[in-house]
Amino acid sequence: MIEIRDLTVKFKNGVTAINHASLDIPPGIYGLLGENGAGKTTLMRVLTTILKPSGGSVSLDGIKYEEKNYEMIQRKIGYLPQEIDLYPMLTVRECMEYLGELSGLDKKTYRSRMEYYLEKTGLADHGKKRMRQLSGGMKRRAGLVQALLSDPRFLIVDEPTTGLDPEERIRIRNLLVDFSRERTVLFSTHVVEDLAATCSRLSVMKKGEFLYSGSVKGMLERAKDHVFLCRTDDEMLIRQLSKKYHVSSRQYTEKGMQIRLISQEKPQAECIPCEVTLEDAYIYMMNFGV
Amino acid sequence: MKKEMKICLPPYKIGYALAFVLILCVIRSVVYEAEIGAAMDPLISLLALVFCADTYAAEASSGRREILRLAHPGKVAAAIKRRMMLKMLYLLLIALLSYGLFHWQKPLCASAGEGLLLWAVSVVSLAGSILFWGGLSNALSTLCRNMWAGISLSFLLWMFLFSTAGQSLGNWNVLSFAFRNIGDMADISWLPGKILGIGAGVALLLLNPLMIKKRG
Repeated sequence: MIEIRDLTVKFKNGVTAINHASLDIPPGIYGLLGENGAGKTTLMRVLTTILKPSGGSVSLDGIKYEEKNYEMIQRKIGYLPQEIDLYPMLTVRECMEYLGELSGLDKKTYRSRMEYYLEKTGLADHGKKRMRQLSGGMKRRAGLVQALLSDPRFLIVDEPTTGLDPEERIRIRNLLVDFSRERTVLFSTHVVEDLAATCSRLSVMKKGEFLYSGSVKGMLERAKDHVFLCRTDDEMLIRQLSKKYHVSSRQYTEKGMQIRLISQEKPQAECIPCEVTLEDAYIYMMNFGV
Repeated sequence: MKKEMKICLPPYKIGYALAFVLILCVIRSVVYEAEIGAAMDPLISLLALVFCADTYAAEASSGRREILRLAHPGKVAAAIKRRMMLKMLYLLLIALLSYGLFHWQKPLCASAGEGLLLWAVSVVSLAGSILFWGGLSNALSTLCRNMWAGISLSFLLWMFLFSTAGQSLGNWNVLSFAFRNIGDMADISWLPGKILGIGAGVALLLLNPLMIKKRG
């Protein structure tokens, strides 16, 4: 369990990346959504002890984030940063072994975990390839394997599915779900679909604050009666609606164009309320707040 | 150790360092054998400050720094130290190769015994320079979290010490070996500067774990 209370992160240039934010992250997968620059990565850097907050407090399983506890906290954390270039001249297996050694794990432990996770991420057959020879998706998977090597109590993954094909994404999502049993996984992504498929709880960040924290169901509930489906062939009408309301999707169908509108009140057009998706709820939340 | 060699000595680094010393022994003319060490010392220093600057800074630029923060601090520091040692050893080996290759210019040789003494003294001096300049640029890069800052600051110091103004430091200049009287075999007045350099290099290496902890 991670407890964040009144957390503030101010940079030297005066930018406030996180502004008096409070949050509880329970065991299981916890999603983190937000636009670019919302403060997601800053939050993760605080949780990994890379960044010291300017104010507020954070604790992990009751251990306070203080300099004297950092070593103990760091041993409980696994982290996959958004951008990472693992040793390009080493093979995948050499790289994992090396990072296992640096983590202070014994040879037998890191080797067995490495084999297990390489298998799970579909990298076992690529173990002899150099890191620089891997595709973007494979590098992402290798990054995830290194984060899992120390069997962390708290896993932080920043955009783990970036650059992965649909099959790989599902594989990684399932791996994270399996891993989150009795552990905590903080899953940050732009891909709402990934969160819908894995998380039951999530937070939405905007400008350093949490717009929403709670269950996925609760978030969908908030956007209920604010999502409408409109079918029309009239290009002018579509243009007018697009200007006036937030459009979450456009789709060409045999019966003309179908658009999903997000609005506080029923749009002034022929449309029907429809089932809310997490993407709709996210757009509603970002534009109309809580 | 094999993995560390692959990490810190990629082919491009091996190549450019080798090219540097080969070009050096071709373009830097020497008349006397005693000149070889003095000619090589400041230029090998220059190579060392570029070669070693990225030893830890590469971890920052690649994003690996963020995962190394979660690794065992002692093991990370030991790994960086091993990489520094490997780089310095490689630089010393190619410096020795270059020393031998300078003989294609057929410099006026002293007796075999004197030649061996000159070689031994040059090896000590070159090792000291590599230790100091490599350690300095790595330390500055770590502190500034930027390889280019480490290279630039070290280069500015190198320029000062190699200039006429730097010569005013006399025997305490870490490049004093380059300014010694090559005609006098018994001249050891350059030793204080070299000992200072070796001491500072060792201190920088020992302080590196602390720098990584604070600025890594």
